Amino acid sequence: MKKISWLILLLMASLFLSGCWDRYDLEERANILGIAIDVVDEEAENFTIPEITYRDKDTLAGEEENIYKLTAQLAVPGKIKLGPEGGGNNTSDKTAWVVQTAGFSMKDAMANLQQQLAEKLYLGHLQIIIINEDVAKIGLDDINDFLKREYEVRRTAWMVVSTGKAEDVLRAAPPIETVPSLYLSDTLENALRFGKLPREYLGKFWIDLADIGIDGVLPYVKLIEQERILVNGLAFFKHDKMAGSMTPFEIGVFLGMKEKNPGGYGMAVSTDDGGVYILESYQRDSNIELKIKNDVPIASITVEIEANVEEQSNVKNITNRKIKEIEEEASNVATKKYNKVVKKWQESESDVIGIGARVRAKYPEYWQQEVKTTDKWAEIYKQMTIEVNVKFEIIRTGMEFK
Amino acid sequence: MKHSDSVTSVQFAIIIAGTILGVSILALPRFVIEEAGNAAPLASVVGMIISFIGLLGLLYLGKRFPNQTFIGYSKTILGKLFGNFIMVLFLLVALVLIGLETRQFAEVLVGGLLPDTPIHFSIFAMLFLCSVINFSNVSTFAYIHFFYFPLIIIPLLIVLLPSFKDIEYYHLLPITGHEISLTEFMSGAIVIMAAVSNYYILSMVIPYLKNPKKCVTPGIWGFLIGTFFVLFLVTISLAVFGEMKILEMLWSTLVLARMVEVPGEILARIDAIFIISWIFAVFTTLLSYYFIFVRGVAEIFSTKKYRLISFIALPIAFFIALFPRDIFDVYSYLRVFWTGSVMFYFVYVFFLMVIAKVRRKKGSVG
Amino acid sequence: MSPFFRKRTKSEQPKQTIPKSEIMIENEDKRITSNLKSNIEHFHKIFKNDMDFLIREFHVGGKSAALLCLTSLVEREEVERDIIQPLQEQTNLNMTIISSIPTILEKDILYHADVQKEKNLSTLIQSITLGKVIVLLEGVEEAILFDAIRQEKRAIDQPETERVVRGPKDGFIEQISTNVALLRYRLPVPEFRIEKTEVGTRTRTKVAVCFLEDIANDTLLKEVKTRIDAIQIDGVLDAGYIEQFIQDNPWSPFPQIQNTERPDKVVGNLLEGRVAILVEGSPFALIAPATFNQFYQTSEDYYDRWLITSAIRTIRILALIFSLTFSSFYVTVLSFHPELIPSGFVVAASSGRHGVPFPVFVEVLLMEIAMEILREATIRMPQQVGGALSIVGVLVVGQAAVQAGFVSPITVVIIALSTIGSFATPSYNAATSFRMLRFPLIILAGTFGLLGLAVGIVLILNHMIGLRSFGVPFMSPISPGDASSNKDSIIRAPLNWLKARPKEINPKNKKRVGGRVKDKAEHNFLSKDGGKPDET
Repeated sequence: MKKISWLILLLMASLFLSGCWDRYDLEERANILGIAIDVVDEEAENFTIPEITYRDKDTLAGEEENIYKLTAQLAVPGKIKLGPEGGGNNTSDKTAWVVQTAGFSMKDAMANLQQQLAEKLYLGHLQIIIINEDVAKIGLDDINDFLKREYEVRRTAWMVVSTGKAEDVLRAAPPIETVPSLYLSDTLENALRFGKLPREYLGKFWIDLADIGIDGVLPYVKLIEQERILVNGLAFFKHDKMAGSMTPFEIGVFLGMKEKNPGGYGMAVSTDDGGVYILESYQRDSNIELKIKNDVPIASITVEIEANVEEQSNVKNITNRKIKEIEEEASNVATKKYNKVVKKWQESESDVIGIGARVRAKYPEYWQQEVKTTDKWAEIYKQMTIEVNVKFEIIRTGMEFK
Repeated sequence: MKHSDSVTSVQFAIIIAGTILGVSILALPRFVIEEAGNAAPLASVVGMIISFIGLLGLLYLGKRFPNQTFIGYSKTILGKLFGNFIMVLFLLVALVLIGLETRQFAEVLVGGLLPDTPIHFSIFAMLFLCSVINFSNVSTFAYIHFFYFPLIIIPLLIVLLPSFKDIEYYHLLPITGHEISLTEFMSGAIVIMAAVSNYYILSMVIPYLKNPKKCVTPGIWGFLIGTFFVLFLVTISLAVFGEMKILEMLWSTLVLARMVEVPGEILARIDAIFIISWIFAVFTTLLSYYFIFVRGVAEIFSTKKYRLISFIALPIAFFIALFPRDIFDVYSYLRVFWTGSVMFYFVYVFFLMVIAKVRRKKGSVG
Repeated sequence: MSPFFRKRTKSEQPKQTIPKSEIMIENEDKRITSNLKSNIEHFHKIFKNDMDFLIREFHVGGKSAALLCLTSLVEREEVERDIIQPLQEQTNLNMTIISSIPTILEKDILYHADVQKEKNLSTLIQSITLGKVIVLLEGVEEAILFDAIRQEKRAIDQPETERVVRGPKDGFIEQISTNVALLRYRLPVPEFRIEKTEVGTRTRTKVAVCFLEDIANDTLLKEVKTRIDAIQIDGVLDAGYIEQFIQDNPWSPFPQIQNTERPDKVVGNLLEGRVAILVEGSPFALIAPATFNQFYQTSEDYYDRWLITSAIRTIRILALIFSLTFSSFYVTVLSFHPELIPSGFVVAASSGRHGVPFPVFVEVLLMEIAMEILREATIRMPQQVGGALSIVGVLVVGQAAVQAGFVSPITVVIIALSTIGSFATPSYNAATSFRMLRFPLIILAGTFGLLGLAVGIVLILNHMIGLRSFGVPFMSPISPGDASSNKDSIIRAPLNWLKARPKEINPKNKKRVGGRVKDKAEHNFLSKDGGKPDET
């Protein structure tokens, strides 16, 4: 009895001695904070891909391969000073190290990158994945597959689509934050809090991609003055391929229909007497009703928006009656705009509000008999009537009453 | 025989609930949804109802033989030879389940936490934790369950409650699922039934209750609490991820935990806390199996050398845990053993009830 | 039924006796003779020429007599005034019946309060060593014993280890008689029992078991006494000896018996139905059974208002958890799972670590050891050099180590937090056990990451849950889960809610608090209608 327990203790001890398999201290990890993915322009840039991940050209069945250019931003440990006094002085081009490589796939590119670095690649703090518009149009499934499989990647990271080169966005050098990627993700994070973006970070985007009858959206960004990003709308997808983009105001439309709060976008309304009022949505409420008529689904969406008057120009005449007038006018303008946006989605066959998923949930028999596949749904979706009705309600006028 | 270490009814209920919440909470939503699709919550409810009938049967037997464990009254009802034979089978299954559940635990760790640490270590560590427990005291066993229960429940709620804002109702509808045949639906129900039927631990604890005759109410409460969380988990996972996404993932609850962000930024992600609490849950469940095995073997051989038995069980369970070649094997074996043991056990309980009635066997009132 | 008396069946094995003093055995059955000379000779042979051994010969009513004592132990003045003076002043004493002389002396002549008569030699020898004075008379086969012991005492002081802001400031001292007095005057009831035994074949230390007869559980009492009686040792120099002999699990890192310097705490525990053990020569009283709860509670908790106290208790528990797990969690997070902490912190931490030559694991371990060395040094060192030590500690370990790139500043912060956390625990020995337990945790965490940490914590918790102190579960009332006792564990409910004594100790008398005072108060002296009770 005693001997057995001693034996077990010995075994334990030997395990301890040979332990520490997973220990990589912070400085032994190449802490990747941001990744940018572009397509290599093979003629312009002369990248050669070393043979690290073995690919037999024959077994790949001659598939047309895209070569990804992967740019990664690493935090450089020694350069960032601790404490508040050190933060401002350093410009970010010193504190972050940008490395670049190329590969046939994500894993291939990452393997190439690992081959060049002393530290272990570490994706646990990946904040943002910037994808070039062209890559997004080719399709994101392959990129996503790698990221989903990798256990380190956090689901709350952001994936954004950029106009222009993604690597340039990653190289943006904001003067306040020492690490650019942190600044970029903060920009998006705060936009979410202001009600300017949907909660479409990586995890949510993947859910939308996997679902039947709903398509995902991703923030659409643009680099400004080499130092910050503009949230330039949303890129909407058809399956994993980018189908088009919305303007920032159309994000508000999208959010209104998805009933995402708090509201964050303003809209200018003018009345007959020449007054222009800017209303900013405060609370959104949306109701999607579905009907099947003659084997064709009809959706009518009612959006109720509670708004504040943020500004009025030219006149000074807000009264109870005037408020009604403004509300009516706003509702009309918004309804038109909303319907226009929906048309745009329908044309690109991108079902971002999830009409399909709702139809499938509400009329499973219809879905099984008539729709069955997502392709068929795309066809139906393109043809179907979607009617949006917007009702504005002004609840406050700020500190001024008139 | 009056036992000096007794278990209160609250502890009894929590032993059952704590045993139900185990390793599988990470993968359970996927198991059910794989079979029953969108109808998973409904199938879960059905599975739980069937399981509940088994619970009632077991409680009935416990009430009829208030001073004996499962092993004890099996012997009384079926005679020594046959009773012992069945019980040896029962204990072997418990041992195999210890091994497989530990392996599943280790797979999660390797897959999501410590990729380079050999799986042997995780398996050994968990089995070691169980084997050093002093099984001669039933009350210690009860205290352990009681102590860890809040540590399991609270992090689970911390993960589940904030997920409410990510729920999409169209993930849940239609509740009967898309083109789910009855067989698929029922196999989903059976998965849940198998997952929650490890409440049979109660049959080993009933004689140690302060008042074994009053085992029914706490038994039902324990079952309801445990199954409530399982149902809650399945439903929330489905509502957040939807059928399609869940089928892509290996451990959906872990991913759910990874999507939760804590306000205040003390920890960037809640999943560390969740993993630790999940280790507690795994531990309590394995402890229950271990308890069944150790106490059961001791009872069959009528000895009190619990420590010896638990140390002998350790290497056996260790090798059983290493037997499956890969993670797909682990899950297929687990499914087979789960369903197999549950089916067998269901039939057996009712068989016992009938024979007990017919042979007019009754436990002595002590 | 009762939970006591389970584990310690071993104590009932036949006693293995330690050899007694040979002198005592020799004189076991001997009596003193009527010959004064030979008696004196006999004592002289035993005590030889000891510095403090006094033989004073004199005459009582014409008869030779001798006084023997150890001068170091007796009150000289008392001996001179109350013994020698009255005896020598007797010149015409009726000494016809020799056997009645001691009685006459006792009844008529001597002023001293504590007078005994004794014939047995071994008892007399023992008495001398205990500070008694013996008077031998020529021709009398009996000696007269006086208790004139003088003890060196220090003043009653504020307890060093358990200071309070509010509450009594007296503490136990080394003399058991004073300690008993401190308890007695707080518990002026006839049910308060103090039972004396002696432990230690050579030191013959007085050990007193104190309890309240009508509250303390009989089985518990019997168990405590049996265990104390079973102790076989030559000397007991402090209560710690007794504690180690009677605790349930000597292998456990946790103290299973509480010790305190505070009489008010002892009385509080006696009222809960526990048993206190006082030991001669030790300013610490032992309280059994002990539960984990008691180690983060102070007596002050009951003197202050409950809401604040409950908050403070919660903070103490947090401090305890901090001191146990903080450094190991830091190791796990930094070297295994950096994804668990916010990115901003990781970036900062990694720059703090830049240039540090050791892995986090080694760094933390080194710092923790340095911290323990500092702590130990502060306790052992003469107070005069304490200032120098703190300078060395702060400057060398703190600042210089960071500037030299030896450790990262964040590590210093973490170590400081976890050390301070352990100092917030009221019970010094419990805090020390937690501090020592964090070393295995750091090693586990440094080798296996989160899994190691979790396994370590589970092992510790399981041990704590399985531990019993005199049959009472160590984690009670938390882990057996008794709702009414939990009112006084992590929080301290208002006093009028704590109606029953803690259930886990199973006291004979359960009720301790009546209703609220407010319910009985009738008059509001500010109200206009002359102080009628409120209608609402």
